[in-house]
Amino acid sequence: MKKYLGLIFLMYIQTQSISAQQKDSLLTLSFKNTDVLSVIHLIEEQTDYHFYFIDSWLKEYNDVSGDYKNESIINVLNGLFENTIINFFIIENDKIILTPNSIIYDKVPDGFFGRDSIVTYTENTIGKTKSSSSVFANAKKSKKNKIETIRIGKANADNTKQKFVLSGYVKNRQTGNPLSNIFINLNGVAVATNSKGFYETELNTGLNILEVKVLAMENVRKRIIMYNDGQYDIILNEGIEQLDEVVLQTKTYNNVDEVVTKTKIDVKESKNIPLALGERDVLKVATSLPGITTAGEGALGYNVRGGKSDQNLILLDDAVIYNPQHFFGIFSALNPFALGDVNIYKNNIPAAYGGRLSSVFDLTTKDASVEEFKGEASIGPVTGNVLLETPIIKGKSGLMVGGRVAYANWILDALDEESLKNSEASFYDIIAKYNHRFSENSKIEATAYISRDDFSITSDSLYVYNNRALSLKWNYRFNDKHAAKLSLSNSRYDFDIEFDGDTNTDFDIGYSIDEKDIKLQLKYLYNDNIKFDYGVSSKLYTVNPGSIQPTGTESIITPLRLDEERGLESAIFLASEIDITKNFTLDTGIRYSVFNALGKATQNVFQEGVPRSLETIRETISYDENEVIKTYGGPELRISGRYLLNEDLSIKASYNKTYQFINTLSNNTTVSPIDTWKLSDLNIKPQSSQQYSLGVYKNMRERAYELSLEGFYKFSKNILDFKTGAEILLNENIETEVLQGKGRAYGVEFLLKKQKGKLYGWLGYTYSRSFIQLESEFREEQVNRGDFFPSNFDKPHDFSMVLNYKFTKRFSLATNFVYQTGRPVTFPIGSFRFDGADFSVFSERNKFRIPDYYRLDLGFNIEGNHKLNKLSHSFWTISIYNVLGRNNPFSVFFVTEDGKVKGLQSSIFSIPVPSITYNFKF
Amino acid sequence: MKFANKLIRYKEKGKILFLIFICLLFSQCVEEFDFETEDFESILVVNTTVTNEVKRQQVLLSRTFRFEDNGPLLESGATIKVVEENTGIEYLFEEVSSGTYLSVQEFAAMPDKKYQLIINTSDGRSYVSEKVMLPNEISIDRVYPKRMANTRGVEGIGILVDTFDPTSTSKYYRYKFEETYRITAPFWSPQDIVIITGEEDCIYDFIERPEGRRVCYADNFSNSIIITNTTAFNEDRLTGFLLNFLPSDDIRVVDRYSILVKQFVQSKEANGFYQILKDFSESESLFSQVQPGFIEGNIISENNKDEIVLGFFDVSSVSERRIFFDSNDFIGDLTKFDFGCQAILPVIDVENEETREAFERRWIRVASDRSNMFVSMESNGPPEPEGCKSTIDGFTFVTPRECGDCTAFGRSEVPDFWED
Repeated sequence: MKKYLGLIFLMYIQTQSISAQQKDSLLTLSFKNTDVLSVIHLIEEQTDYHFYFIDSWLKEYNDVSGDYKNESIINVLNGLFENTIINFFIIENDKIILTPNSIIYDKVPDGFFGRDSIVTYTENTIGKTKSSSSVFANAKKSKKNKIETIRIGKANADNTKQKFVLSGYVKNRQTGNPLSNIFINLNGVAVATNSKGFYETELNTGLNILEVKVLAMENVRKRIIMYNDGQYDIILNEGIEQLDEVVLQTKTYNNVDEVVTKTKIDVKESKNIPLALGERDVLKVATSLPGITTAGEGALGYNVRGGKSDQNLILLDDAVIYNPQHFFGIFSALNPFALGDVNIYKNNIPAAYGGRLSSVFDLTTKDASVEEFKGEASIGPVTGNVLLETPIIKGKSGLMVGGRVAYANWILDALDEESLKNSEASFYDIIAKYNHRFSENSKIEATAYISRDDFSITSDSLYVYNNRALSLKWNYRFNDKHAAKLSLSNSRYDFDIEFDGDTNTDFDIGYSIDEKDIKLQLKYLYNDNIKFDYGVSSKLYTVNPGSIQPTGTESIITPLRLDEERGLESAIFLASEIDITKNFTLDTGIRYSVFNALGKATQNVFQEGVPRSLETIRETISYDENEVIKTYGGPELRISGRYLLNEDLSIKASYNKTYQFINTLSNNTTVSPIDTWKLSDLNIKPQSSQQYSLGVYKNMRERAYELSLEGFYKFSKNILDFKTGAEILLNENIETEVLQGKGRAYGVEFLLKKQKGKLYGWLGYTYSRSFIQLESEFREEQVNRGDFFPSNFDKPHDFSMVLNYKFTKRFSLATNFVYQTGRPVTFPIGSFRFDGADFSVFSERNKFRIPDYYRLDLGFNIEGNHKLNKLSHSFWTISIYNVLGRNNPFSVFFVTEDGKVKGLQSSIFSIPVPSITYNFKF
Repeated sequence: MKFANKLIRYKEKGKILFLIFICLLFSQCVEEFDFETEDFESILVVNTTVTNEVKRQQVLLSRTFRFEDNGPLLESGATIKVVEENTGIEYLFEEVSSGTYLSVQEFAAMPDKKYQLIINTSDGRSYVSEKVMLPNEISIDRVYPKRMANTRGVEGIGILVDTFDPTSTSKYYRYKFEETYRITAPFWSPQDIVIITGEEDCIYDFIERPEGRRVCYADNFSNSIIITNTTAFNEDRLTGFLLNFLPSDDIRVVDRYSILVKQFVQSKEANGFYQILKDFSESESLFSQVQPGFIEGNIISENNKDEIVLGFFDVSSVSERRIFFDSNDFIGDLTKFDFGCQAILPVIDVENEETREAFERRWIRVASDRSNMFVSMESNGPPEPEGCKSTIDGFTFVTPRECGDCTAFGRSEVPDFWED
């Protein structure tokens, strides 16, 4: 860290001196018979100018001399490069770009945007090659609007022809190669060169205008006067253009136009949304959009369209992240600085993805800078975050390393409260990415990510959980039509509970899941109307479902290790996007998924017609290493269609089928970090789901407003739940506790977005319901008598509004308002006395609701000033979470204390929480 | 100085921010709320443990009640019997008080036999339990006190249990206990005063006070579910299982303490029932809450399969052990129970210009209120002169009743089992 600080300090000094020296950048220097490189170093030493070049360009010039007194840099360089082919160009006041042969223009070529501007300011020398017309002269001419006149042929008095033939070659001056497929504009009619660079055309006698405009080449404009048939070779100079900022507004990301609707989270904009403790959290921004919710403030995971939180495939650069949150969901475990794109598919999941029922959160990191060293940092009340990017090979590869850490631990220690002395709560996450571009067509990216949480609620137990994700991606483009992506990834999630109490029962419980994934995805652009996306993927799961080890010499805990679970999930997929008519586009995909539960394992077979229990095991089968225990799978259809009613209005419909072969085991009302993931096996069937949706999308006022209304109906099977009070952790016969039932969810989502103007933001409203049915002929395997009941995250009304107002470029105000129906809870329907104490009796699950949730957050953002040469760009966020101080209950529970039942409600942030965060970029 | 101030201010700020964190971490943001029962269902509650002790076995029948109500409605008028499966012997029960049924004859559950509970309520419904077998009998190895701190760092005495089943068949244990503790009133004095009215020059006189209010005994019964199991251990042994914790400033360890521990070896199913009951009644973590639901027991309604019944017909083998100890042997150096004794001395309120008559009247009023106050005297002062007292002198003083009269806490009869 010290090193970086030093670096920052240096950079600071440097930038300071620039602004001081800029005005009087007159040079005094003399050199004799030295090489150009040394002179450049000399200039760099004396001034703040920086040269950008490749050494090999200069190595032939090793005998230059010069003597300058208070000369401008331009004069010095003109002298220096007089007899070379080197051109120079000064940008941003202190950067000098050298180019061999070519000239840099500071504008895009004439007519690039259809404007009528003229190539302007160039600094150059005459090329060493004996060119007939120097570029300098050319530019001058164009400025004055003078065009060179070329006369072709010898006039023949006898000639009665009105037309003559002009032919010739178009060549690159620097390489001498003929240029094929170049359009020559002759009096507004285009003539193309053939593969040999040859052209031929008929021209009227007299004056003709010839123009050649080719990207990356200088423009040529000549007056041609035809006297007879003749030949004229056009020699083009290479040109490098430094473009002005080009703002591309593509039509492909357009909610009306796109066929597969995806929810895109603007990572950059997410910094403006006030969140708890000033923590930027991209995924929490997602929860303010329709269809994505959490069970509560302190709940892990996301519920998408009435699905359980284990039904989301969360990918970071193609590697699965099992728990993307720190500290019970209050903080995101993903570094917001590192993220590039966040897309969420909840409506129609593309066939390339599979294995989860509800959604795909496709997160990709941005590429590390290959040009310059950059950094970003933030300091908040609870966490600090730094991200650094550095080029490894300039222009080709870069490395990005980011780290976040919470410093809550020492604060807990510093408090006077005795009972908190041994408490701990800390977390960190680290991300590193390397990207390397071999060529235009080939690029690799490698990402490594880890996160860790430590917390202890009582002094004798410590909980630790870790995420790990590694991925390696190779993107390769065969040609303009065919591209491929090969990705390898490995993900791991594990947790550990250490118990160190006073008695001889100290233990250490561990759990881990590991997956190795390989995926080959190809894209083929058949023609403008048909695109294909196809590939194969396979992943191997290895689960250690739980182990317990005694700790300390006195512990009498028996070591226990549940049998490892293994499974292979494979799929092939083919999707095509077909424009059937101009307005109707269909995206059809099919994915065939297969899951093999693999040995080595033992599985119980239960008697039919009786509840599963240890007493009803009919036989126990042993499987060998890699022996297939059970195979599940089937085709998954993913179809969506879009019909454009007009340019700004479309209707979309989709059907989606998904399978999921991995489930979380949890008997809590909300997700906890020590919930375990279990693979489907002989007794636990995979979950499956079908979703139908229909929506209307509308843009208004040139896409300043986006409006959408979408309805969905979802039906799922084999949703996992548990018998009341089931013991899950370290249960060797978990299948005797599992219940599998049906799920049903439906809803309507409304979203209005305003993206332009001083006031921008969105307003979302969702009405949705989510139900589960756990039915069985045996009462102990039923919940609520086998009827459908609301799931733990069924929140019918969900309204959210995010509004930002930009006062000036520097000051903006952000507001965030949320209203949700209270989450269903199980309330006691009475009390009973047992063994001298009172207890609650619970009957129907989720029959009641906690009070409605609402919250208003305010944030005020102050951007640092916009001075060009500032060392860093800073950004302050002052926010107040829960301004109204609403005491939103998170959960309600009933305890027996001193023999009496007490109703308790917990809330996470019950008072306004102010925070201030400082961010800076350098 | 300025810098120091700033530092302090920063510290304060930090505290506010991190109070929130504490809130997150610990149940500080948990608050009690009042609730009313909705959708109340009256459900039969069966609470019984038939043991291997030869005695009149007990069955308690009640019904669930609303939170607003004080206690359960007791289920009267039922006929109850326990049937021994192999022999067909029926043990009949009679209602000895409302909702409490005792077997007509004394009997004990025998090993290797299955028992079934059959209940017919007065409204004509009948309920039967599953057939249950008696688990192994294992005697408690040891019950002992140990000075320790609880998980919150509070110091006191823990009551620990050791037990061992060499056959490794018991595994599931449930405990109940009865505590008895001795209290000695710190300001008890052997003499009491009587206020004399109507006699001139005479306000009060001394009389002998009965011993009975100096030393008392109070009882307390376990009112939580204490269960444990040895399934995760490599042998069926409990060592130092913490049964009960007594903070040093608890009244139960102010003097001498005794505890009778009953150990029930129960079946896996019974353990499951009690475990769920326990899980649902304890707040585990602020963030994750166990999904509650109806707790299925082993008793069902014969008339209506959809009717739910609460309770478990438990047949357990029981063993018990009693221990005694003086708290000073363990926590003599720690802060003991604070009786909150203040000596209120009879002094004229000069500030408010109290007259002597008004003072006397006030003192008499205070000293006569025996339900709240106790009149004591300095034990090591000079001997009190004989006869009726005409002035209120400094020999007597008034304290809260708890300080001189132990019946404020318990009863003065020495329990039969008590050993000093």
